[in-house]
Amino acid sequence: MMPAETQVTDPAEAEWVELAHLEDVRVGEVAPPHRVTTIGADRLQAAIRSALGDIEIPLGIADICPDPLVFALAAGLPRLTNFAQSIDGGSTWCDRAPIGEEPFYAVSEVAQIAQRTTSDGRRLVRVNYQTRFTNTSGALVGTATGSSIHIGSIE
Amino acid sequence: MTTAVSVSHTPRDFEEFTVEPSTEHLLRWAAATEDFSPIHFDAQVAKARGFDHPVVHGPWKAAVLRRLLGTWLGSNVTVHTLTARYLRPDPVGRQLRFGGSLVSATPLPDGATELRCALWVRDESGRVSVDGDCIAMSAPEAGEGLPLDRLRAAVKLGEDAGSFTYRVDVNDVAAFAKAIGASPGADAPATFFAALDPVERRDLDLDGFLHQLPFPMTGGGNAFNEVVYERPIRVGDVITVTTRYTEVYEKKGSRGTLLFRVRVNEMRDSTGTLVATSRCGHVLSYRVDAAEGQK
Amino acid sequence: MIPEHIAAAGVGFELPARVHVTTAAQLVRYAGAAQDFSGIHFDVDYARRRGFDGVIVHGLLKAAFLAELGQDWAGAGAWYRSFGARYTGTDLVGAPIVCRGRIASIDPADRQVGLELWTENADGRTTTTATGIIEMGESA
Repeated sequence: MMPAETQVTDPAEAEWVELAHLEDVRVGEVAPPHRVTTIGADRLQAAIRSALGDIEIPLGIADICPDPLVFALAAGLPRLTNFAQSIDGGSTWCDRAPIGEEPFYAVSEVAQIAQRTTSDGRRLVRVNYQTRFTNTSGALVGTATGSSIHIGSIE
Repeated sequence: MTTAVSVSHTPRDFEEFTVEPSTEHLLRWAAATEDFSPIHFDAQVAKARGFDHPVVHGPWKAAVLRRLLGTWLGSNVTVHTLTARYLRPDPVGRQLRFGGSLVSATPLPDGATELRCALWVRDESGRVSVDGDCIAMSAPEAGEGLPLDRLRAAVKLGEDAGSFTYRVDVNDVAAFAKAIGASPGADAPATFFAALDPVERRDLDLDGFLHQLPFPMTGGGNAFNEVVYERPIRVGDVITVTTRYTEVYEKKGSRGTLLFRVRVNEMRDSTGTLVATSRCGHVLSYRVDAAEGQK
Repeated sequence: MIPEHIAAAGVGFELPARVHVTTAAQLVRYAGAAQDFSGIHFDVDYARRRGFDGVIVHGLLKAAFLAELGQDWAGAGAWYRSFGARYTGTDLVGAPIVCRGRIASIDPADRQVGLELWTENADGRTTTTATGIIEMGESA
């Protein structure tokens, strides 16, 4: 019976075992680079404003890449398929320089594959996809990481 | 113009916000992100995937937290790292509580403060569906002027700040001669001492923070260079250069505040004999009065 | 011995002027040779952010132009006992830099000649002033 709601806890990193590859997913695989702009940022601001009201914050990587996992997969990186459940486990955004002149270059890469066993004996694999954003001067503007969580069936 | 809102640095809980994500909110999000995955809209698809209802996008919840941080931390603070872990799916149309707390405020060497926060999203029963954290930077207090004392300490004013040894290769001298339009020879050109400057070469870099001050920079560069030679520098020399900063001071100019640094390089050959002594004055120009409201 | 052409010229004599027109390539070449990789000498966006009108010529490159003007005119066997330059204005890459000089002093006993040298930019402004003491004959 497939659980409808899966509690994904975040145990210490020591419990995870890193893998170099699994199925078609290989650590270090790089998707073709492409250009991005802040063209969608206004609509993103409007979308959140409709729920929260007016709160102005400076532009950041999260405005260029609001969903890092979807972004990396859309760039062409592969995803694991032989698992009972696949979900978005989380996102991290790191801003290293202010969002300035566009366009930006985005390069997505499979950064890490790690697995562990859940308390009820299922296999759980986490794939971290990291995208680096650089500007036309070659400077790093920031990174966005999306974690894909895959849970195997109960044996 | 918004004035900077200064918010306390003592650990505290943030004011909770309650939001009810509707299908309309999520449609706007889907359109903005071009992610129309039906699990957020289609009840049948959601059920087929094992959920009772369509679910709210994890990144939508993270985006709300990010906006709320703007209110919780104030406009003087820049969030540079934000992590959100999507622990449980939340169904569309149910109230969600967004909150967090300031966990720590650590002063940094340049006068800024590093803030660390814990963040969460809870459903109506109080169960945590998103767990997150962020690291943010609070700008240093404006209006303090240029950090001269810190600079004098950093460059060890009056003392030898470092020694570096460089070989004077025939190719180096030839490249330098070609660059200045001179013919290469056994004696290095008169300004070749500049190629042996540990500060220009970034072998000695004690005051890089001068480029990260909260004041606009309005120019600068070398103010003067002087050299006294006991003999010309020659191809084949192995020169040890010792740098000593001798003066650090500021002067109010018409276009800004000028920060002067003077350093002396003593150049000795492999026998320890003094070959040349150079003195360099460098100036950086800042608009110090304009710091408030500039960021 | 003070060379004939210098003794004949005398104090106040104006050296033949020399014009340097820098290029971006030359500034890159100089940056590499002098290990001075400040972006104000090759990156126009960075130069503007630092408050300049555009990419500017290294002060020490202008000093080199002046030093070489005096060196070449003094001739073989001459070397600088001392040389100093003050930068009073910036020069943008590509603009002509006129290098001028004059004999400030002649000291036959020490075999030394004092020079005053300066650069003029396209607006007629003096952007660098330099002095040097050139010594004739073999060095230690």
